[in-house]
Amino acid sequence: MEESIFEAKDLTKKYKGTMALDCVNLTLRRGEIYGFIGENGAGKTTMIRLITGLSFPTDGKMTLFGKSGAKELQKQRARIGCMVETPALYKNMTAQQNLEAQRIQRGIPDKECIQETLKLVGLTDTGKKAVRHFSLGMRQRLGIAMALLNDPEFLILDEPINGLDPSGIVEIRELMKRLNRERGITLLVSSHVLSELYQTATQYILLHQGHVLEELTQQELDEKCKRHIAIKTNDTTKTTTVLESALHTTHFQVMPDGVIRLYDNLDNMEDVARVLSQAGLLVTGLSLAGDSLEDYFLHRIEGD
Amino acid sequence: MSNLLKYEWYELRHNLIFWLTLIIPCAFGLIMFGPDYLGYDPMVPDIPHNIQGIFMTTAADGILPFLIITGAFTAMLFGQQFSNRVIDHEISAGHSRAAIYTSRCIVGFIVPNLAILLALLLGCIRCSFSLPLPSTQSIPYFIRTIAMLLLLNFSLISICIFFVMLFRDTAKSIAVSALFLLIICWFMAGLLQTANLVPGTAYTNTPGVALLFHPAYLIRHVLRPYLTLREGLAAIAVAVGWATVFLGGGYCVFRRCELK
Repeated sequence: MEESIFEAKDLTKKYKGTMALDCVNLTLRRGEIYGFIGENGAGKTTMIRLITGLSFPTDGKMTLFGKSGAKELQKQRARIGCMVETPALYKNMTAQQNLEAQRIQRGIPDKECIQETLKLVGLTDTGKKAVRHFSLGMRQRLGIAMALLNDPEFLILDEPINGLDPSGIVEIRELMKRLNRERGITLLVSSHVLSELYQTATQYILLHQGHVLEELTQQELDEKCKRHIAIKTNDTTKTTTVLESALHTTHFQVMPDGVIRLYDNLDNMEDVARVLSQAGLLVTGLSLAGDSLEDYFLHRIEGD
Repeated sequence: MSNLLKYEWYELRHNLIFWLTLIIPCAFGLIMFGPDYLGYDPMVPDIPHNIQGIFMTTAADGILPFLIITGAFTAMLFGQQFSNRVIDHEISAGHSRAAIYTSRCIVGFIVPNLAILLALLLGCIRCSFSLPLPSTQSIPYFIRTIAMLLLLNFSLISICIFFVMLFRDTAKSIAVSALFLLIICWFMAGLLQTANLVPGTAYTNTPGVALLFHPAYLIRHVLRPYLTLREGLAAIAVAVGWATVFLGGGYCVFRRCELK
């Protein structure tokens, strides 16, 4: 079994005068749920379109399920399910007919999969209603159903919760988690609703202006976003000693840039400041920090 | 490829445009092509007074308008797949662009030709109540003529396929395809006006080079009962040439195009 589902090496996509992706290096591992984060035009959809073959890279190399080269990539795409941007549907057909068309096109022999997939996304009661009469949320669910029909190993969903009502969002979130947990499907989910992504993803890829800004795990993100007092002094070693002796805490972390993150005493910032100055330390920075995913993302792109 | 063709057929069955592509020429064929057609100035010389004659006159008179109609509808059928982005499913499912394009070409060959032949057949069936049937000696004529018509019709439909691949948009594909076919037909009419026509026909014994390379004219040319081998092969070569140029051009565009 391949550990890596998808790899991009120096992947570049250039449109007339615009660099949509600039030498992107990325590895997606099996069994994870990847949250793809980026502003409009960051290159998320471009990356998805390259993976699904709708677009061609200007430069660089892609590997899918360990295989590279145009022919092999094309073959491996049969193992993918995807919904890129808004769902592409036959509006004159019913949900069942749309899935039947997809089943025929993919050469899936078992017709049972249609009902199973409709049940999975909660669209069993649409009957003979044509897709043109579907709400945005129903279309979104049908788009996801079409991506799931071939029981993919790698599921790519671009803005899957667009147009869904709150209960629909919860259902789709649970569905994504269940597919990952029970079927071992690797997911790549792009969304603008970062709070939603935060509840689903296990890994995050931050994309900005065609570059991968950062890749981090859920734990790393939690750690970075955790509320803390950021302390900067003229003597880091002495500061840690003071924190241990005067405040009786070891719940802090020294960052590579010398900033100390203190995770308790959050309501006693004045005490912390007093203790440090009484110990003769020159405090050059003392602030309450900690981000939501949105804040973290915004700080990262502002700092870039 | 077989999955793609089955998929195309499933999609066509559920597409109103496909049924209109079949129904409109058939309705025209039934309503317009009557026995009185033989009384008009024939477009083709040596027309027998039987069903073969009806076939020849209706084909000479009706195929070009039918081609414009079915060509526009074919452009609509394929253009919709780009506009609705349903063609993306085939690519992301791992089908090669060559296979996807070939399946479109097969459908583009079958659908318009089926519509046109059905229309001609319905016209002939309607007239069969008042005109005699041709002798069995006419069977080779029908086989040869229908085979050539299929090829020549497709050579013109290939223009529509090219425009669909070029624009990848329903409205533009329909408009430009219909306009281009119309211009081709006008161009042929213009050439015929300056040619030495056989009296009482829209046919010339001395077609110039432009007419000899014009599929719309050759559609009428191959309807004649007597066609030399050289003329037949030349017509086939022209049809294959046009189809190769436009289908080849269409494939070159499609194989590297970025889809929405």
